[in-house]
Amino acid sequence: MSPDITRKVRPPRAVDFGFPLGHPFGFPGQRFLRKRLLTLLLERLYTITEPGTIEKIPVYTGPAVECEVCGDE
Amino acid sequence: MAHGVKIIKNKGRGESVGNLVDKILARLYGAFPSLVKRYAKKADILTFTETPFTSPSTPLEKARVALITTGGVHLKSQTPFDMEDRSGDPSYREIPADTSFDELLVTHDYYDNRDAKRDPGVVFPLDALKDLAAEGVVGSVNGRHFSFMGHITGEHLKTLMEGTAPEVARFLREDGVDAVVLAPA
Repeated sequence: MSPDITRKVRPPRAVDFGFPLGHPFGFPGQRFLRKRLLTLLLERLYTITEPGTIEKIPVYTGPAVECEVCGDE
Repeated sequence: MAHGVKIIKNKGRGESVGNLVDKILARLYGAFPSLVKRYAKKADILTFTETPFTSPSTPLEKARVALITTGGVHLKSQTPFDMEDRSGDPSYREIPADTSFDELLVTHDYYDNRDAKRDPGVVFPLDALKDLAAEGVVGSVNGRHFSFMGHITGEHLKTLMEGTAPEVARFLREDGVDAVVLAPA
């Protein structure tokens, strides 16, 4: 997800996990991570009250950094 | 079943130089976020001045949830998105909830789709959504979900804004969907 593009499109609410383009829900084979990301995202449906908010949750900060919420796959 | 499927006219060009350039650019944008920043500033992206917003009325554990992706995902049995038209393709594909990932393909040259092709859950997390429903985190998974191919420009934007996008929104309302997760590729 690109926060720069998202700001122009103005969805009701959005979350930026830090993944590169083409990877909104992480990388192949990370089903557990996907569940965590979806849960975090769906919770924001209820916690984000300001229209247009793009909340940054830095799950992924670079290729060499271990994912904090990946858990066991 | 596919709704709003655009009939692709075979222009007989095969993969053009333009297609190859698009794929190269897609990989560059994926690898270098600073290029995306620059693209976002200069590109003619559909821009809105208002932000639609509704507060949910159904608690998450009772909510019916649907997915929409712009990652170009489709069933093997469905017509692929049009990669010949450089202006893109505003059509969508309907994907039933009981679809398994080995029934899916990705047709979208405008992002680095290598990982999405290996595992469509990267751009269309239907497996994880079903897990959340089974665990009671969400109430239910909608019977159908939708996929667009996110490269839509020029005259196709009118088709998207006045045709295919409102059509999908209507379907989701008819289905009683409480929340939609939009996954941009």
